[in-house]
Amino acid sequence: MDWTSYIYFPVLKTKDAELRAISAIDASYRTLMLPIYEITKSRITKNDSLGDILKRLNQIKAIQGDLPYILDVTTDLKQKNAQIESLLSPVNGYECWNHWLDLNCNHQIVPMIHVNFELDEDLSEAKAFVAAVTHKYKKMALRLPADLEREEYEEIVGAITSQLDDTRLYVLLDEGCIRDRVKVSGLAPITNLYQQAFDIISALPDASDWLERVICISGSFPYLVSAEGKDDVGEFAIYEHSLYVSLKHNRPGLQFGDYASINVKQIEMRGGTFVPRVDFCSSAKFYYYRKRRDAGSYVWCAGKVLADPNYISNNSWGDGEIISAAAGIPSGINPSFWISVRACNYMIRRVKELRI
Amino acid sequence: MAFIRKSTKPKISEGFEQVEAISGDGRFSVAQVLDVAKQKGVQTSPLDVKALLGVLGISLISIPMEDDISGMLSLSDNGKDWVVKVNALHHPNRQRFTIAHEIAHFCRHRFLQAKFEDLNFFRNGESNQMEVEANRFASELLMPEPMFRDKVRLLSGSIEEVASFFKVSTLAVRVRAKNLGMKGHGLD
Repeated sequence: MDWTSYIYFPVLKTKDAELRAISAIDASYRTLMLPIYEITKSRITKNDSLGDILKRLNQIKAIQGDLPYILDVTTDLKQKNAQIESLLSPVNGYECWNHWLDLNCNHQIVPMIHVNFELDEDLSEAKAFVAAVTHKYKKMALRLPADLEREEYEEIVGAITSQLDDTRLYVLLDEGCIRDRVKVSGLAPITNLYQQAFDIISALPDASDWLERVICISGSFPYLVSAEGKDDVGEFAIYEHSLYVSLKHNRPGLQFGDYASINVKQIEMRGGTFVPRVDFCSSAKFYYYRKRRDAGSYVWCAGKVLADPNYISNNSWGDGEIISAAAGIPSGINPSFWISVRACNYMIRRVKELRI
Repeated sequence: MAFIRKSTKPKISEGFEQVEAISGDGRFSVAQVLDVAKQKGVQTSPLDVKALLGVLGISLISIPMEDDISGMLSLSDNGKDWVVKVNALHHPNRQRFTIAHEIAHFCRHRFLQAKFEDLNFFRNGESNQMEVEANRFASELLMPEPMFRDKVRLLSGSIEEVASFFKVSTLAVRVRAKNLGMKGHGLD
């Protein structure tokens, strides 16, 4: 396994839209991607009032096969359940997380190291977790904001690396959704945050011994797409791409990831509130067509996409679905399905861009 | 994202001092509060009211209360810390308005009283001047005028979509539109 071949690191919550999207991506792209799965509860049903997360893990395993992946759990209150709460508990060196990984995952995965300053102020539990599992994993991951002070990076990363054997560490710098901040203050302050954090982490003692890669992660897909353009058609910038353009000179030490064109906060659509829409992207922009609900909305939208001069097919599953819909036979007529189409095409586009 | 920050209390007081420094008489305007929110990285579109409470150094407690009580702002026994309590049984959008309303009391009236208990908002003929001002402040905080006008235009006046964007009730949108003298689009 050549870990240096990974060039794209999408963060994916384990909801149906995300899982359907990545499972539809061709292996030639997948081998260049190291996804970060953020486990969320599964769908609540009559027989599963808990929303068992093992169902989601089994879906991940089926999608990834032998391909490695980074495994994290969500801290989103709406996506958590009692199982996830326990996996995030620092008690006894995060023993629930440790045992759950042992029971359910092989050692090909890259486990996330949790950091919880509220309940583990001196990081003794995080250190105990790392000390207990470092012999099992070739790589582990640490996900931090990009706006910490130098002393904070030194404290956190120093504590973690002091417990590592030969395990190498991915450090994910994640600022979440940057859309509003870029609109208010421009891209430069955010770029500077990532650059400073990357510089600090890369210069920590003996970094070449333990640092695998630093990953710049952000999202910018808007909460309300129609607010970015007209009601029925529009376009908007992909700020993750702008960030990449500003920071790519730091490669290969700095790599790039995002939220796969899915809104970071994952607003649940209530019945009756969505307007059918089909999106597509270039490297730097998203384009959309949108038509208020009546028979044939997706057919109309897909036809418009195919006729748009900015549309370039990736010959992917997502493109196939757009063609089918334009021909009058859409496979899905719910927002989740078309999020999958968008995310599938977006991730392929990112890999194409990043491998240049 | 499995990273939980240290208590943000030092940053809270820093933000609070910053607002105080620019306010002169200790009373803050909506614009001043929004400026500080932006500087502190608090999402303002729609406004993250809980994060703003943090910046102002106000604690939040969400607990079930009688249905006719929306929430309250009170000074702790130590005489220093302010606490907002919000009715956990109310709709999240209503809780957001309640929090914004209590922020308004904090920004405008904290020198006058140590406790503000708030019943239902938007009652017809509200005659208490402090409550009228707090409602208006909360409304401006959650739906700043330029953005509100933009959204009404972009969303073709769909009250539901405007309310959904700002995460407020449709009633709050109607009241805001009325106060801005906006008509048409079904807003009046």
